[in-house]
Amino acid sequence: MHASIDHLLSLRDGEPADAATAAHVAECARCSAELRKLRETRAQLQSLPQLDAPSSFQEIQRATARPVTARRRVVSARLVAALAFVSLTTIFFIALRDQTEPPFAGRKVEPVEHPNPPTDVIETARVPELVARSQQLEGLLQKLPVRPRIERVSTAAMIDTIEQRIQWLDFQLSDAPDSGLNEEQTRRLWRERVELMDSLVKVRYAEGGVSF
Amino acid sequence: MSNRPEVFAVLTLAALLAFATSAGAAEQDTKSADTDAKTQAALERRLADARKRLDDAAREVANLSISLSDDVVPYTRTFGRVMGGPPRAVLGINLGPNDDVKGGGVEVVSVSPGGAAERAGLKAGDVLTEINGKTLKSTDDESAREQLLGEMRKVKPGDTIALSYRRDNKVVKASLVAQALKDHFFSMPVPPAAGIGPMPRMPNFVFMRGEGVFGSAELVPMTPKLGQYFGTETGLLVVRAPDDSRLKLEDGDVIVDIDGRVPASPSHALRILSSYQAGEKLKLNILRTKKRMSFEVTVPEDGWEKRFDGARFERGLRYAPEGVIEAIPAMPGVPGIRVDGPGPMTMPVPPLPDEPV
Repeated sequence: MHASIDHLLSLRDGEPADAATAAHVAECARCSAELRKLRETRAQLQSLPQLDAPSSFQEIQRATARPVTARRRVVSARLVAALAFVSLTTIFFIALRDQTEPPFAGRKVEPVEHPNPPTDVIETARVPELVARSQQLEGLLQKLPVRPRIERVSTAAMIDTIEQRIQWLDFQLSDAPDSGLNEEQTRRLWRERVELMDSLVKVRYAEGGVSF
Repeated sequence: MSNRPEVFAVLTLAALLAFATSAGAAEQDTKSADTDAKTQAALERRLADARKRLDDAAREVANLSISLSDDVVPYTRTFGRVMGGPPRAVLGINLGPNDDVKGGGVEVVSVSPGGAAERAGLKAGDVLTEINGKTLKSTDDESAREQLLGEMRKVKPGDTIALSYRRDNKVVKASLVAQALKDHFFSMPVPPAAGIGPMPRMPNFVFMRGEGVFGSAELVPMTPKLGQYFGTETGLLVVRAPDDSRLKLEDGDVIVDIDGRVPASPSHALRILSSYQAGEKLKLNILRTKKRMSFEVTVPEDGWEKRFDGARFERGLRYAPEGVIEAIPAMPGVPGIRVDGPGPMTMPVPPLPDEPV
């Protein structure tokens, strides 16, 4: 199924978006074209000059307009002028809104709980709490857009390093019951996983945010 | 003229638009453009600084948290590949400690970000029910978890694995390629060996020491479509050259190879570059406007060594065919320790299947 307009707007604005949707958009010609169109439209609107709505428009019109006899013509002229005025003002306010309002304005945004528990909670947390925290961060990570193709070298390297270390931790923790790791050792590895996941979410969020 | 009012209205509108757009005149426009450019440049600088601070903070958090659990895992497991034989294959999942799952199977407690399982769509909470046709169900002799681990020990990196898993009472099938467990991205404690003292510790993230000269570059891996335009399908396109000009890269260049090693990703390129000591020479082969060019670059000093009192860090563990590990790092006064390897070390370790040169 193709991406909805809300999903496309989220991607355009660099908001957290479902990873599967982002992946679909990246591969689907139709959705990519729609996204490109949205970006172009915004760019065009933003490039419009800032205009003040002409307050003296009616006076100018009154002073310069010739008296007309046919009522139909008057209505027609006023209609064209009114439409033109409304269009101009609308374009102006759309451009203004896009420049000043946050990208979330006017759309429903699901509140995201801040993933950071107090540091001392992590320090003393037991394994089940750390697992829950880790899963929460994992859920958050999955909502972020896929990694951009163009990447800053140091950021890409940081993300790869953290991911590889987490993978290594997962390997160690999967074998933990058989390899003789005691509860405290297991807890320490889980704590490291939570810390790394937290860093990963932040770096990935920042990377996604600047790529759109 | 019958449509004079309409024409008038349109002309009025056009005049208003022209008046509004030209308001302020050309001089104002120039000033405004200058101001915009300055503001833009200032914002770009602040963004670059913020990104660097974020990278630094993430590295510090990762480094410290790794250090906190450094001594937890025994050496023999840390160096599973070296001490225990062939490279280990992983799916990128964490099974957690629970043996018994209602309805049978093995619960996935977490999924490694960037791993094979994540790419195949698995999530924490899924229950694996089958691997390569073998049903995972506890028996009197063996738990489902043990059965899964047993199957995984037979798997080699690069093998395709057929999985079935249960989510929301529905069974889903997935196919994924097992990955090699990578351990070269971060430092590991070096196992003690007979006849020598404890090995000095190499700092974590040593492979990022080229970051100072190369870290700010923005790169994208080449694709067949990009290749039609740039003249190569491999290597990395430089979208934004690094701030540091000592590598001689420019926007639009394609890094074809670094001393013959073809970088597959931005972090791979950094890893290659970081494997050289400051002062060493390397040959950078690039395409610039479709012309092949070759630069000899002296790897610049970027401050890494200074942070560790002049210690020089070698290129990681190197596995020699005669069964010798060139131990690292080489600290001042302890240049190049070589450790004779016992049995399992006598076989050369092949490159990992998914690891470019």
